[in-house]
Amino acid sequence: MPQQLPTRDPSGSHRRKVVAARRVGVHARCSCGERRPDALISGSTPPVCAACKRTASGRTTMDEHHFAGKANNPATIPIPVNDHRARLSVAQAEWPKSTLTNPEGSPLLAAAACVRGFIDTVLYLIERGLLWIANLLEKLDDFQVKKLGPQWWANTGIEQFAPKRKADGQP
Amino acid sequence: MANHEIRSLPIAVRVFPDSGNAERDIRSEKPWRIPEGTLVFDTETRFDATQKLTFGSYRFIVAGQCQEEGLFYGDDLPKADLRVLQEYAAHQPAQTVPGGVEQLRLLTRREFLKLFYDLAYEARCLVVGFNLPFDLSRLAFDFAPARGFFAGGFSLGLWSYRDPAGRERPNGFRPRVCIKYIDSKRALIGFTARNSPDQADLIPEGSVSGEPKPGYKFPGHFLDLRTIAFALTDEAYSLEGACEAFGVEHGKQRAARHGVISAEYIDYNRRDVLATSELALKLIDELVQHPIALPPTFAFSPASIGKGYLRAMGIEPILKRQPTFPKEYIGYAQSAFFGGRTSVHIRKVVCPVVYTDFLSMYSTVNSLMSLWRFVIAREIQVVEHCNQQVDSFLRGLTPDALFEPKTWRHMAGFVKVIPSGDILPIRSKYSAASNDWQVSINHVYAKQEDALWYSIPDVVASVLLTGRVPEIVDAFLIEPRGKLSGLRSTKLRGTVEVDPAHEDFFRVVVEERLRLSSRRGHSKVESKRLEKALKVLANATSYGIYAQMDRQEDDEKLDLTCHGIDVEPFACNVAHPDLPGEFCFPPLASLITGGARLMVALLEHCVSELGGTYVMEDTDSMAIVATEHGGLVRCPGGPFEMKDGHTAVTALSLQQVNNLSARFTKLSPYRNKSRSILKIERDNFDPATGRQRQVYCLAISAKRYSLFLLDEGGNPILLQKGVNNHEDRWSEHGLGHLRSPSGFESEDRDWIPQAWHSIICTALALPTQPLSFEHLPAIGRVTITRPTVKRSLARLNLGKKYGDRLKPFNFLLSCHVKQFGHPPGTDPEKISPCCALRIRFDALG
Repeated sequence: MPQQLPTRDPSGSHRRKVVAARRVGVHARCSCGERRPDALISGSTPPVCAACKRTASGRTTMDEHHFAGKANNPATIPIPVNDHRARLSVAQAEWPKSTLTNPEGSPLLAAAACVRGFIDTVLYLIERGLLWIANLLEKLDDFQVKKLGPQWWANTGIEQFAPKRKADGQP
Repeated sequence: MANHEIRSLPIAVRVFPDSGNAERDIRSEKPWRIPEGTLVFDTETRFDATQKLTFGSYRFIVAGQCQEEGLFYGDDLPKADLRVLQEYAAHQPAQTVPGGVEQLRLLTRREFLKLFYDLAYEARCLVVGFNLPFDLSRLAFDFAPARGFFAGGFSLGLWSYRDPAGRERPNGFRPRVCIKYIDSKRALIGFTARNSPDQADLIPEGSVSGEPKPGYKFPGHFLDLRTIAFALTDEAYSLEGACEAFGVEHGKQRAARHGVISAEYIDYNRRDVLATSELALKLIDELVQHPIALPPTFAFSPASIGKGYLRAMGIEPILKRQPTFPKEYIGYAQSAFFGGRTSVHIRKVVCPVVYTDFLSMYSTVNSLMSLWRFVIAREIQVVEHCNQQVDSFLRGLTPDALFEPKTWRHMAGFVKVIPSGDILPIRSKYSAASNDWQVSINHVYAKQEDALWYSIPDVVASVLLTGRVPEIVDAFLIEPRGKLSGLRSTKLRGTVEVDPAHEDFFRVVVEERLRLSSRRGHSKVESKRLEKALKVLANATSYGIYAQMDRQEDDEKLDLTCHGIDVEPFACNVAHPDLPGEFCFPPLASLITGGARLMVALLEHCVSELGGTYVMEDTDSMAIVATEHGGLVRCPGGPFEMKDGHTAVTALSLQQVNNLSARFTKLSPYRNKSRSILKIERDNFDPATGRQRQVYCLAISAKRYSLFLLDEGGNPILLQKGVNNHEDRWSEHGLGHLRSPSGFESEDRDWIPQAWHSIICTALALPTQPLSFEHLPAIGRVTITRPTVKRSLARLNLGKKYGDRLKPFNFLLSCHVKQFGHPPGTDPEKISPCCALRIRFDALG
């Protein structure tokens, strides 16, 4: 499953990524392990991420994200600040500029922004909320095969969930 | 000498210029990482004098995968041409990876420049092209002479804006691109600063803190593949040739017709960009094989790679690690510096020869003289005023002693002599007509106050040829003391290990080349690449870097202290001086070339000793007059007379030449003692049968000669690659700039052997056919490489828009007309834009 939509502006996306990385320095990494340049605070020595900085100053680490852009819809969703900066704001930068800024207040562009914002958010939620489960299940299967053999589910209550196979073992 | 007139000639000697400033080291000590993003582009132009941009294409590649592909077109492109581009872009998909932009983009020049700025400047991508100066100048809208580091080059304005009056003005908030031409294969390219740079622009490359550094200028990462291909191979490749040599999968294709926009022509251009992007990967891969910290964008020549290896072995430039080395002695050594010995001895007469060549001459001389000990020395000491010691050495010399390798170790020094008929090199104006300073080896006479410095090998050569020792006024030797600490082993091209502290680098490189055919575990391609790399490395490190002088292009005059033949230096204030290169160390340079001249002189002595002679010599080769059984051969002006009354010279027999070659085996510094350092070249053997054959030589001047066979009817057959020899054996010296008479764009060089064939037939008094191109003017191609060239054409640009002007890096055609070979009233010095020239000369008939 793609974790992000294909970029519609690879050169712009690359430029933003490179400039962000340059601002924080080569191999920069927060003590919490965060290394996404957009999540790190530029000019901080040693490098620190936005979440750790807020924690240190006793502020919340959650942001209110305008999922369709402030110019298009006032609705917000709470997102961890690092993901807000390094994931969803980056994704919004990939949108057509007129859609994000909607200077004339076009309802069609506002609708387009809502669709784009929804897609970005769903992809983000899939990645954060579901993808880890897929990864976990694969690891667990691997673990079971090593422990109990290739058809470890046979003759257990889990067998009912196994995909049906023909006599020759083919799907 | 009694019969010869002694003429007084002015002479010139080299000096060592010292500006007092240590050379600015532009190398970054930080490890350089290849940028993740790469922009590859190529332009097509009008096929006329303006060579203005019609269209181009680009690929934006991230981590080796093409993310975006597009076309761009020039301003004022005719609507019909634009329609072809639009039609093409609408129907042809981009060749991108899944997830990349599927549609082929079509941009105006301005839009492409926006993309170029974003990627090349802001994202600091690698900008790749083949002959980048030409392509970059197609994108520009104005140009001016560059200043500072790029003085002598062009400053191109790429980005512009329209003022309220609609005039196009340079955009000061964007950098300019400066290009300083070095030669046909190399140019320095870089961005200038811009007004109000962003904080992110001021962050130096590779910064760990990400902190902006006020005043920092990002120079850009411009990679011209023509340059890096040259650095890796010492060959001037075309894109097509480089793709072939480096096994590019999608090599260059040929366009049926240039200049007219069609779908096929756009395909051709896109293919060029694809070939360029694949070639870039191959060349970077090849460079990475060398364990040296040299960024691809800094690989300007084989010397760059050679210096990279020296640094990798922990060897810093001698004058950098020993800045107190006495400058006056550097001056003496510099005044004794001359190039290779090259001459024509029997001119315009066809003679039977055996063509001989010394094995890796400069590396061999380095090893024989044991000069590596100076390269790795902790300190080099000067032993002053050792006249007595040198005089004794010279008096004790015999030709046989020169065949003892240990003799050569004692020649690391310089002698000040008062020449009195001694045979020595001298730089003088020999021809009033040419008024050029030229070097020649002559019987030299000088007054006491005009004593001159020579390297010991040069004086030894004179002693060998004259049999007497010149009057010595002064002498000094150089001696190594200790070894550098921190010397490190390295692996040549990642394969051949060298320990600089215990092995002679030059010897290892040559030995490994000789051993390659027996090496196992390498594919044929790998062996070929390694062979090439070793050859390039041997040449790059064995001589040139110690003699390197770089012309300063800045128009501002510099105060210099010049060290030459006198004890006291002199001061001068000059514009555009040559200043010493990073590894420049004249004592080594002079000893190396002096040693090579001595080697050729020793061969000359051996040939003369046998009563023989030679047609020509060129640095490391000699065509010795020889026939199967030897004896007199006809030669107008020769010292002997044949029975039929013709004058003649004595030819050696093949056996005698073989014996000579065998004699030089003793001088081999290499472990394999079965090979002589004097090779009987492959040209002397029939490639089909392997049998030695009779080769003939005709030389018309130094470096201009041809080797050939004679058929049964006495007609010449040139030695030609793939026909009867492993390579072409006619000189193209001084002809490289001339275009083919069959067409200005043609790469065909067949006219040169045709001309040689005709010259040889004339020398043999055989009937000749007029050459088909004899009536045509000799047309050379000139590139506008410097503002000085540009200035002479300024009149042609008056009142024209940039696109319609003669721009930097445009090609021009220049015409060389025979003396009085032009119609009365025609200006023979005329240089014209290419299309105009064709018409003009067609009109001349």
